[in-house]
Amino acid sequence: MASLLKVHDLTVCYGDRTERQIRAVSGVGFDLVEGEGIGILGESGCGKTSLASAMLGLLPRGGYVLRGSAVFRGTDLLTLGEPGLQRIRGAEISLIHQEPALALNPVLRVGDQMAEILIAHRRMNSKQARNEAKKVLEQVGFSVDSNIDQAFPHQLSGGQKQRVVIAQAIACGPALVIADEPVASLDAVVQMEIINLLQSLRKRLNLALILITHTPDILVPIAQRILVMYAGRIVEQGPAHQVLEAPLHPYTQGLLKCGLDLFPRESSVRPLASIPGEPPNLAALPTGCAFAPRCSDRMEVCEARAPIELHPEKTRDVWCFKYE
Amino acid sequence: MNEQPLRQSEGQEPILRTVDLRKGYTRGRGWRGKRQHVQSLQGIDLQVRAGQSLALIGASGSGKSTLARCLAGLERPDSGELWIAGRNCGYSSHSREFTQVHLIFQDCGLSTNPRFTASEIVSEPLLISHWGTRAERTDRAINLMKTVGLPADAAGRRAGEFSGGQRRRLAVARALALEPRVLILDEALAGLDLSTQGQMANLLLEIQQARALTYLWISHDLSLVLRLASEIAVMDEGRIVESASVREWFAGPRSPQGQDLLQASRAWRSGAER
Repeated sequence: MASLLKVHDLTVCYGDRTERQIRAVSGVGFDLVEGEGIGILGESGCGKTSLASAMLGLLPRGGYVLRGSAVFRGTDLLTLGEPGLQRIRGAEISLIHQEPALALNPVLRVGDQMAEILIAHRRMNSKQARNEAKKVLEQVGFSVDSNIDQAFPHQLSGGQKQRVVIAQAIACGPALVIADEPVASLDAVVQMEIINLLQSLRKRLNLALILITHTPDILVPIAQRILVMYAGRIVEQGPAHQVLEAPLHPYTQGLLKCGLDLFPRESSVRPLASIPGEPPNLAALPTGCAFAPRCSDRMEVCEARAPIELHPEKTRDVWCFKYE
Repeated sequence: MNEQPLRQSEGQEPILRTVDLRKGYTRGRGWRGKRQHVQSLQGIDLQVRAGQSLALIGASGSGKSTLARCLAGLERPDSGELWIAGRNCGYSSHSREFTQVHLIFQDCGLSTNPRFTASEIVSEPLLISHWGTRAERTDRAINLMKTVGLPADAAGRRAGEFSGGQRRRLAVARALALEPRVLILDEALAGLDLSTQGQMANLLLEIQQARALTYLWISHDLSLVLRLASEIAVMDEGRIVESASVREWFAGPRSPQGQDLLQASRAWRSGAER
């Protein structure tokens, strides 16, 4: 399959270019082929969102790309500049945010804000755009007679809003959708609906999907490959089922242990599993492995130098001295 | 305030008791063009004993949060009775009894004043209820912050300087300031990283043991409920449709709504084991 996106050595910083520089993402690289679903897993503050924003030129003020490249269908997104990015954003790559309520314009009817995108990217006139918007809304599971396009965002439930945001994301037939915590604010039943919707859209439209999350569960139906990030670096990557069933990096192991099952057994009760400590301060990262202070398998070498990429199994990469 | 005599012995009287509690909201024109009256609570009869850990579950919009807000005195019920520790709170949300019930929201970060320092945030409830001198209040705030495991130098920092997990800790410290007997935790662990969520849950369980608190968990996350609560109540469309002990319930919910919830969550998670 054709390669769609190649990210190489992407490094994103915040703050002063000289001192007090915070490295939110350092040296991240991965490949994505067309129609592939990958999951990026990690705690909050580990750089997942910065990574996504950097690729689309959406870093908040004070953030900049120090080095690296993100080549999408032959063009480097990082050197493209705003006019070029505007043509790609929403048309070829779309982003779904965590908070659907904030992604929607509260004073526009759903149909109108869907039409805006189609008018901007597909040069439709407003009538065509409105009709097309209705069709797309049907694709994300709204029935034809629901008149959802006449609704204002505040009249919708959280799940409905997220569907509208997804409809906006797929309206122009993108090749890649980046979903940043798409279900974090929804209840379990609606979460499942949204994830299943994303998965069916991915299959139907041959979308590539990058799913960014801190809950491993939601990656199961979608992701073929998982990257685990910690303190701005990828610490492990591999095929989804292998990473979830037999994690290699102590961080992934800890994170997955915190996940809870739904079957009462004696051993499963209190206290709950957690990784001791907190994620490190990105402004003062340790010299060695960033996870070392919280790691139960810490060795001397971990504090001395940064871990290198190792391949304990053919398809899997892990950045941990345990596997040297 | 309605001065009812204290009802016999404290141990027997549930700490929270509601009788036929009702609450509705009127919303403006819907997109289908009509005024909507939403009956959020349609007669809630609930009893929570002191020291109990009750989980309230149900789909979004089933009235869980409205019930929580009524119990904490933030919302005035339309009709019905609310008894806190054997006293009828009537319909006055200024009833003194409500200091015994504290509500912690999901977005506790947003419910803190960004200009306040951490110790001001924690001691504000004390200030409002005219407790002690300024120095005493600050002392108490710092003690409370220690209880919830915040670093010693946190007192002077502002809310924005804390991470998500630390902000939740701050909210818990603030909730404990007036020594309430009931904490209502409305999705208080939602949206946290798994590891932080585990840390917070353990902290809350420790605090519950140390202070003999009563917890009312409101959560969508059944796997957490299973570990944190001892009793469970399922809400649907403003009614409590089932209540049972957690173990009984997880072995087999009786109400169709409960079965749906459990099935959906299990189907979801069992995918992870496949």
